Amino acid sequence: MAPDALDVLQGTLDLLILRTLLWGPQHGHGIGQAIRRRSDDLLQVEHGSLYPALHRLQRERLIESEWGVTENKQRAKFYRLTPAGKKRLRLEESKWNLFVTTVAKVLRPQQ
Amino acid sequence: MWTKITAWLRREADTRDLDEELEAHLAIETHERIERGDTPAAARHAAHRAFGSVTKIREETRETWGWAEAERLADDLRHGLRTLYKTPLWTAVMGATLAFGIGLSTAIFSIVYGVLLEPLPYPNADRLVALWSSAPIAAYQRFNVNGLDWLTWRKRAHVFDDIALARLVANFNLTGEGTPERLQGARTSSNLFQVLGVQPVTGRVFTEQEQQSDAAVAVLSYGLWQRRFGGDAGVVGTTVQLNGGACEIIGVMPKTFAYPSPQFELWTPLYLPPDELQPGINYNYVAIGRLKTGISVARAQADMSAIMRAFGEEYPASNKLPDGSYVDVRVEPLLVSDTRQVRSTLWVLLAAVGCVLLIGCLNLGILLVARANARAREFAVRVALGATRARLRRQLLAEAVPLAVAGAIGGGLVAWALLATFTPLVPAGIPRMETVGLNVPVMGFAVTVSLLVVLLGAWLPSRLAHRFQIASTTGQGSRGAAAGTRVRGVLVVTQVAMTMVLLFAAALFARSLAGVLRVDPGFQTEGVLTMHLAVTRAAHPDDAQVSAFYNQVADRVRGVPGVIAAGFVNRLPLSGIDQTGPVQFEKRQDLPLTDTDWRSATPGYFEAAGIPLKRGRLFSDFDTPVSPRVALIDEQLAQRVFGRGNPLGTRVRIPIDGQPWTEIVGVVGHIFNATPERDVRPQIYWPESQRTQDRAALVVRTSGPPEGFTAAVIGRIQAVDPNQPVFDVRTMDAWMARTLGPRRLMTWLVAFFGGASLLLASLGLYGVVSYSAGLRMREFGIRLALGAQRGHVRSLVLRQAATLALAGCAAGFVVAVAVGRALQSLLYKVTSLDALSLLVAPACLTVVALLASAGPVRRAARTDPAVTLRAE
Repeated sequence: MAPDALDVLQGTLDLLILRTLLWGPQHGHGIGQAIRRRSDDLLQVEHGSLYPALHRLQRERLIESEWGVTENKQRAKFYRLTPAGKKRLRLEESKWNLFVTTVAKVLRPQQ
Repeated sequence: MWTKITAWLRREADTRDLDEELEAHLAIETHERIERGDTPAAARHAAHRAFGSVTKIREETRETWGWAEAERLADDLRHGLRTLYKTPLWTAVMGATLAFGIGLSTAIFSIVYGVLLEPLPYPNADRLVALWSSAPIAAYQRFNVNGLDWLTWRKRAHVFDDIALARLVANFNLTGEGTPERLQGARTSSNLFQVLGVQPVTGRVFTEQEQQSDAAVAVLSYGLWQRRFGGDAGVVGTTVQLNGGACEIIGVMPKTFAYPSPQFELWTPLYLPPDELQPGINYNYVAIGRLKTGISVARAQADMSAIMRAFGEEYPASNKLPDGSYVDVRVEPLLVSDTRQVRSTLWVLLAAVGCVLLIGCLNLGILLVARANARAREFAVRVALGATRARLRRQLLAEAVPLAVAGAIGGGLVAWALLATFTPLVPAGIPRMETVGLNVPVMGFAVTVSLLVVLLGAWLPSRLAHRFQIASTTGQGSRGAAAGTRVRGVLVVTQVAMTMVLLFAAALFARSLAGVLRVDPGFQTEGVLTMHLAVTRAAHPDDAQVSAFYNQVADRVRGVPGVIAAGFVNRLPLSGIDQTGPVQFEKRQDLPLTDTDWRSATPGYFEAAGIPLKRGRLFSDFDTPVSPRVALIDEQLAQRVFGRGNPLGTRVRIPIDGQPWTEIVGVVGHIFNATPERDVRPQIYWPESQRTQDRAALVVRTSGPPEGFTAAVIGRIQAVDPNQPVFDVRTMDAWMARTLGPRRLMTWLVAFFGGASLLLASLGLYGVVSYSAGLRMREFGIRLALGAQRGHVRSLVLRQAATLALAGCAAGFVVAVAVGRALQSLLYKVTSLDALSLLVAPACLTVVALLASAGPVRRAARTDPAVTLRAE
């Protein structure tokens, strides 16, 4: 793990998973790797958080899963966004943006 | 909910699926590493390391599925069952205790429910009320109603839909086809069926016109219809021979119709002769009313009292009482009125059995807490490993739940067996026993009780012991058990206190029963046979013929070898029905009217019943309808009116114009006529020949066991009249026992419950004493090693047992005083602070407490210092 790796903020993991799945169905391992790649290795998703989160989202019917085959012909379980998941993603994104700009305002006032 | 259930059902498959998913993850990662140049073994190892604990991830993921809670509970239950299985004796004793407690209380509740709580089988039965005449100052809370009152109420009261009137003492001799049979029926006003809201299943009921014209029509009960007429609908419209006359059957009531009780099989019109409609006399009827919707009993009572006051002002001669008030009316719910005799007894029994059950629950609690303490270290370790206290509590619960389930099932069986065995033995006179059974509300009660058992047996003690002293326990061995010991001490003291109360109540009841059994009723019950007959009026139209018939029967019966005496009285002593009225004395008209039991008797009755003659003479065959009128009074009446003077030759009469003056020719012994528990009034006897009654009891004194004479006596009666039915054949002993039945039952049951709780409490006490003695083994070892005598160690254990028992007795004493006061109305010649009972109960408890602690005491004294000191 990179020495300056960031912890994934509580509650943002769901957002990251949903966002990752917007590009298409992906398996658990792929989701973890995608998040790491897109954050330039700064965000490390613990597997111990990833799988419970995936299963929780599935229970909430925001994503659904299906067994499939990877490019390397390996069996894997692929997750896919549901329409409800897309809706939730839009909502979470706008909440996140609001949060970021608000926190920024507080940290750097009058700029 | 549905998804939860399907998820639960799918969980095995889901778990496999999850394992595969995680396995696939590792495979992908390994593959990637191999592609990057690692050897397969190193790649696999690295993938695993990067992934972390598969088990942990799997468990955490499974948690999100939402049935982890349920699974944990199942785990706990499995664990609980295993713990129970490991201690089979303990489990069996606890299970049996609970099954017994739940079974007993369910059986008693089923009686309470069936008799007291279940609504009467009529539509809107809550609007039905009984109306009684009432004269509280003369100790007459309730007495029957007279015809004129009823007519007045119907005219003036506006709170009722209607009020019906019935004469319950009506005997019908059914003759013709088959054996002659005496039926118990009621004469009723025509609106009775409408007031109760019941239609006949076939045919019709009688009309008001038929009632007023005394029409010869009858409505049958469903039971009689089935039994005597085979349920043939064609019976409606046919005639039968009833009391020697033709009577038309016009209808059949449904099975549920049982007014006033299931023994009644026939209803005929109640004809009120106009000359009987006078105020203040002929209180021969019972009345039931249906309140208008929304009218409360209290409101009806107020209205009716006002009506009776106005009525009394119109007829002060008959209705004004000595204190200036008037004869009142008492309105009470019909169900309450029907069951008033047994109400308090049944509630007492339910409370007593509830105590037994509670004591059983406390035992469960004590032993569960003891086990929890014994496992304090195990728990402490588990807490250190991350178990929550809630989880530990759940585990205690998990041990109680299987026990409670077993107790509930066993309790259901016990209740069923008890009811099947004992219902036929319940003394006659407890009304509505036919509705008792294990129905839905009763089963609901059993389930509720079982839940309470779980709560009381496991949850409450675990709450009390919430200071598991976890931190200290890990370090310091048995000291952590101190909190648990206190909790168990409280539970045992509670048990002992409740047992003390039960034993006290049992002692009070036993002393009351003994007192009642010692009562000399004034007549002899041994060697006496009794039976009843009601004459067929059509065969003996004149009173003179009826009394001649009685005399003829008595003469014939006296001819049976072994019969010493025989005679008739119109109502046996202790019959449960009062027949009373005032009398006035010719020379003492200054005295207030004296209320007396009126009885008509034939010659021979007094010898047969063993009522002694004190002065003058008894009735003889020379007292005929045309001879001078005579009467006998009892010694109590003689004493009250004449003091030491001589009553013989003075005259007495019923204080109504036109009633003849009657000469007192003898004084006989006083008897208990109403109940052996209360001496209510003095007696006056008229000769059957001068005051004739249609219904009479034959009393036969025999020289051998009276049962053996039954056939011969009935044979003599039917030799006089083959169509004469005989009913209610019993020995006088059995007749007397019948009146004591409810008291005897209550006493035995309370004593039984007291004994059962004594046993349970001694188990609890034994458990606590022996457990805490076990914990102190090390201490005893040190004491002995330092030179203490074994007797001293013994006294340490004994002291704990005695402290618990005495604390329980002290607490019980306080409650017992209050309970005794509440029971006062059920006691006979025993005060609620009866010293003997207050001594007996704690004495029993102390003895049992010492016996229960004998084992632990012996074990403590045998402590081997070398062994116990080496053990830790």
